[in-house]
This record gives sequence, structure tokens and C-alpha cells, in this order.
Amino acid sequence: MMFNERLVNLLPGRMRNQVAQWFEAAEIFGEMRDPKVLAAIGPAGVRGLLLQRGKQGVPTQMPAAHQAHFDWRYPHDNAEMASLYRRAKEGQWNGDSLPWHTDVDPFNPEVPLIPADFIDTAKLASFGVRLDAREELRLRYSLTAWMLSQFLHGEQGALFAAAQVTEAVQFFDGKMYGSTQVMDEGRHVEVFHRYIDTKLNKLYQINDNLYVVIDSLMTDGRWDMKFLGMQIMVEGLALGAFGVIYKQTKEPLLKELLRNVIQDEARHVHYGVVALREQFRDHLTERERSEREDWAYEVALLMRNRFMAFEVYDEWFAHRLTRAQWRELVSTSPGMMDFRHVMFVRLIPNLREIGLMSPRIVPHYERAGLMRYYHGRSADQLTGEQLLADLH
Amino acid sequence: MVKRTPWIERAKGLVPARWRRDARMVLDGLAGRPPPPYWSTGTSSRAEAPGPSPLPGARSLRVAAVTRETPDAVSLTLVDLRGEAIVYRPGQFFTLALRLNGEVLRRAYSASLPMSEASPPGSVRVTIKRVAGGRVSQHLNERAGAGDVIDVFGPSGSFVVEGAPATLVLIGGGSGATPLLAIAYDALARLPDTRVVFLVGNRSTGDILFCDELAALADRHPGRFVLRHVLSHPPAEWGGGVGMLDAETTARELDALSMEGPAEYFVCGPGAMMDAVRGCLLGRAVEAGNIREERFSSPVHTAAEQPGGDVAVTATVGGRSYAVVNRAHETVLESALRQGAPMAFSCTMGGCGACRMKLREGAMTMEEPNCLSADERAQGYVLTCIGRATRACVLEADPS
Repeated sequence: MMFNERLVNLLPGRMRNQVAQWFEAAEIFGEMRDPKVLAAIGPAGVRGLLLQRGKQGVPTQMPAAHQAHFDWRYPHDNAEMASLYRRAKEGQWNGDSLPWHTDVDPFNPEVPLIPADFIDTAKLASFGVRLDAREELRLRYSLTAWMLSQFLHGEQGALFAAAQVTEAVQFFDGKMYGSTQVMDEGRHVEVFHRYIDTKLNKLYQINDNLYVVIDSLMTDGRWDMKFLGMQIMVEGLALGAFGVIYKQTKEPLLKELLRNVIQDEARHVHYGVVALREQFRDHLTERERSEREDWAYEVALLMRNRFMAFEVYDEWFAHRLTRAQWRELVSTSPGMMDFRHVMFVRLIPNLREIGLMSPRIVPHYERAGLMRYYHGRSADQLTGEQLLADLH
Repeated sequence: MVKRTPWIERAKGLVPARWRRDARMVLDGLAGRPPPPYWSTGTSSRAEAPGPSPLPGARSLRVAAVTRETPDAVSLTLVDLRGEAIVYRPGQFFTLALRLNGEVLRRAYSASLPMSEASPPGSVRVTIKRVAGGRVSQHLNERAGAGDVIDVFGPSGSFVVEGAPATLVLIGGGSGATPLLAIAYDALARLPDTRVVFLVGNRSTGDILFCDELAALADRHPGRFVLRHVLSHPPAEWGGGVGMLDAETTARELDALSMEGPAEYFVCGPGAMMDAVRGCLLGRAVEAGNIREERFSSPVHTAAEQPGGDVAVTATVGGRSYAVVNRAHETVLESALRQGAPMAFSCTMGGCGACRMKLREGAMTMEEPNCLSADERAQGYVLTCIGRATRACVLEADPS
């Protein structure tokens, strides 16, 4: 790291940020222990981190190779999934019915989108950047727009992944359930986009690391990897992240929007747990299972260590702070810490439940400081209402 | 002479556009030209494509069922889009706001069942009689269908039974029977010691609203429920009362009923009928405090947009002041709700007084007629739901 930093500092100023970014990427992949995991994520990493396919300003084409699983006998093969399907039908809601007439003023300090301590301005000042009250409000507005933009990009990934998973899943009851999830994800794209488009007027580009996760699982042909990636990792992380904003925002439309979305997401993660528990326990070799365990661990770390709002850094501080300073600021600001930690509250118990927390991997999670979430309740033990109640 | 394409351009043509974009990203990054971190939005039309958002303060109700009551009247069963129960008292009304030809028209319709009779539970049934030339009542009678979503305000109104009177006399003309039916159901179910007399006037048998429901109530509560129909154009062999519900007919009908103990009167119907009934009751030494009336009228005059465009309004609600801009195309209430002030309101059409505020400074025009009394006007009260500021205003809510 020190060597990298010295090397970067030798470069002409305008090159520095770009090269520092590549070193960071190289570091991520250098740390991966399992060559199979590296092979699964590596190509997506090149496309996302080096070529920045998500930020090219044009639609991205991703080849998807998976088996569509047809069953012409329509078996009733999983009671828990059938029950989820019934609940999902009853839980449908219309995005148009949210209180869209609400005037959202992102700069009104009396109705803050996120709390004032979300970013540590004292630390920012210690780096020589002083913001006045108006600028602080603008920075928090940018961070909110960034988070919601990443939610939106994640939901686009979830929409397509839900469709693929519905094709590939082996349970017919799962396919029926999956159809409702496709609708749910479409609605989430609708409401997040409408909020960003009509209330915040600012759509951030997809974060490179989020792009890597989505690219990696969209292009992976194995259905259980798509499931693990989207239903457990992305949805699970999103559920934690939504919860932080839901809990902290004072903006009534956003709160209502998230309340509805969280209740849907609770079903999605539950489905992931039900589908994968049996698959990982009974139908995989130990080698295959541990590969998935490692994959989940690497993706968890990728999101925890690298999901750092660098798009906001590029906009605000690219010429005033180094990337390392920004990383330190984000890693230590109370709101952002909460945001990046609470993402794991829901994820870790679910990984335990589907059998991806064997004694082999636990010490690694321990070192990453994530074992504190181990004893939480997994998605199959939680309803949407309980999830919301937990947030109060 | 044919101009030759430079070799570099030809070489570019051999490389797929995707690879060229990839290479461009890498080179731009090194040259200190990173991709833009965000896009400005707000130009997408997707959000505008579906139906308009609810009006400020309205709840969206879905028409679950349409029942034809008479050739000129229809009942709509409305349910909350979110599945929440609709809570109201028998005798109260709801304001339905319809967008017709780009204009928002608001009309008050009473619930014709109490909550305890609502089917499905949590719904509300409102009954709409066609009014000659009435755009909303025509539309609802001819076009309303299951699945329609309507912006609804309320419940509003104080046309409700308090306590347990010994006798409840309900006098209705035409669609005035609507709130009275809800009151009758509720009193018969809830007040075992109350006797209910229902005197209802119509033109002919085909115009009688809730004919079967009323008959069924009479069968279910013999002795406690007295039902009397009066027709101005009765058929041959008609056993009920005959005539218009004017002072004379009302007096004759009431004389024929044996009334014991103190009675409370609930009157609802066309204006002329209500005036006649009121005169008759006062003439029979009924105390004014025992006569409750429900008058329906929709504003005749619609205030135009204020000439100066946006006007500043300061509204003090719950001890806090809110600075609001009254937009040219909105009422004060609409602007204030849209801008986050916690205004009180209910019917949004000048009929219930829930949005009453004191105008301390400035000037405001209001739609007429409305429910403000001459006394209230003299004290400087205004209704924000039908008011538009013409000069900068300072408004204050009643401390209560």
C-alpha cells in the first residue's frame, strides 16, 4: 500500500486518481484466496473497475447463459414457496398511490433527508476543507441522491436477476413466486426512479463495485450463484441499507416509499433462504459449497470496504482530497459507518441459515468485524412488519 | 479526385464500437477526464404517464362495486387503495373530487350505510342521485365502474346522532334519504330504547331510494321502526301518503303518528322542502335545538385565479407559523398542504367549516355559497379550502 501510494505520487497530477483507483482494484483481486472465486469475479472486475462499463453513458450488454427449466407437469413441490407466493399476491401495492404530491425540498434543514452527522464535517475541516451550512446541506443531498441512485441501480439488477432466476429455478412453486418478485422489482425501479427523477433531479452513475457484483452474477450460468448473489447478497445488503435511511430520514415521502419497499424485500430474502438452504446442504459437494462460501465472503468485503461513494468524491473533492482521505472520512463518519455496517445485520444471519458460515470461514468474518451480526434472525423467521418494527 | 479516408479512420472501423468505448474510458481516465459522476434528471415522462397524483390531502379510494338503485341513482362501494378501513359516523358525508375535462369538480355525497353494515368491512357506500345538468352526478351515474380510483376527502359534517333520544324522526326528500338510512340502520342496531320514524317523500314509486332495504328494516324491527312513504304522483291503489313534503303534508303525516316522549328531528332534502319542514316543526313547538338539518349545495361561483399570480401567505397552526406561497391555480389550503403546513380541513368544498381560520391581515376571495355564518364573516373568519389570496395574508387557526 505504502509503495503504491509513493508510486502514485510520482505521477503527473491528473493521472494520480485514475492510477490510484487501479491499484485499489488490483489490491482487491490480489487478496482473493480462492482461484475459482477469482475466476468468477475477475472478468466482471476488469469490466467494472478498469473499463468502467457502467459509466460509459450507453446501455450495457451482458451475455447471460443459464438453463431455462421447464416443467410441463406443474408440480406443487414446495409449500413454503407456495405460501410466499400467496403472501406476495396479497402484498402487491401501486407505486402511484405513494404521496407523490409531497413537496420535497432537499435543502430544507427542518425536514432533513439524512441527519446532520451523516458525514463528519469536523474531520473534513481537519483535511482543510471547510463547508458552510448551505454547502453541508448540498453535500448531504448529494450523498442521499448517491445512495438512492445505487438502490435504483441495484433494483435494475434485481429485476433482471429475478427474471433469470424464475426461468432457472427447479421448483415450480418457486417460479410462481418468482413472477411476483419480478413485478415487485419493477415497481421498486419505478418508485426509486420517480423519486430521483422528480424530487431530487440527480441520478448518480452506478458505483463500480456494485457493477462488478451485478455483472458477475448476471453472466454466471449457475442458477444458485445468481440466487446467492441477488437474493442473499444484493437484496440482503439493500435491506440493511434501506433500513438505515428509513430510520433516519425525516422526509415523509421517502419514508413511506421505503416502508413499502422494505416489506417486499423481506419476502425476497426469505425466498432466497428457502431455495438455497436445501440446495447447499444436500445437492452440492463440499468443494462447491466452500467455493460459494468464499464467493459470498469476497462480495461482502467488496461491498463493505469499497462501497465508498467515490462518485460523490469525484464530484466534490477530487481536487481537494486524496482518495485515501476520502476513504478515511467515509469509514469514520457516524452515518456512513452505520450505513455500511447495518447492511450486514440482515445478511450475516442469512448466510448462516443457508450454510455458508462454516467454521472454516468464521475467523475471516471475525477479522472483518462482522461476526457481531451472527446471532440475528434470518429472513425465514421475519415478516415485513417485524422488520419495520425492529427499525423503530 | 476521390478523397481517401485516412488509414486511422479505416482502422477504427475494424474495431467494434464497444472496444473503442472501453479504450476511450481508460485513456480519458489517465488524461484526468473521468466519466461524469451523475446525470441531471427530471426530464423523464414516465412519472407523468400514469394517472395524476392525488390532490393534496385526499385519499385515493377504489370503486369496488357499482349498484344501480333507481334509474337515476347509483351507489358506489369505495375501498381504500391501501386496505385501510374508512372510518366515519352515520350521517356524515364524503367529498368526491373528479377530474372532468381538465377541471377538478368536488361534490359531497353521504354514506348510505353505517360502518357496521359496510360490505366489505372497511368500505363505504355512497349514493349519488342524478341532478339535471349536474356534471359529476351524470358522470358517476353513467360512467363509474369497478376499479375506478377517485380522490376523496372527509368524512365531514355533524349531522350525527348524539346520545340516545327516545324518538328519532327522520324526514327525507328524494336523495335526502341517503344519510338518514345510515342513521336509521345505526340507531336500530345500537340504541335499543330508541324508536325510529322514517318519513320519506318522493315523486313516484320508481324514484324511491332504498325501497327494499327500508322494507326489510321495517320487517326486522316491528314496533321500533315506523316507515311512511309519501308520493306526489302516486300510482292507483297507493296505500301511503300523498302530496309534496310541504308544511301541510308534513303536519298531517306527523299527526297520524303517535309520538311519545321527546323527539329529535333529522331533516335532509331539497332546500324548499327543508324550509317547509322546519316551519312546520317550529309551528308544532319543536325546539330549534332538536332539529338537525343537512343541506347540500355546491359552490355556484368559482373564484378565478388571483390576478397577481403567486401571493405570500403566513399561516399560524398549532402555535407555529408557516410561510406559504399561494399559487395562482390553487386554493390557500392546497398550496399550504403541498408546502407542508399541517392545515386542518375536511370537505374541501366550503361545506363543513373544518378549515376555518381567522384572517388577520390581507385579503382573500371565497367561492359562494359556503357554510360561514354572517356572524363568522363579521369576525373575519375565512375558509382556506375555497379561498384564494388576493393580497399577502396572515392567517391564524383557532386555538381549539
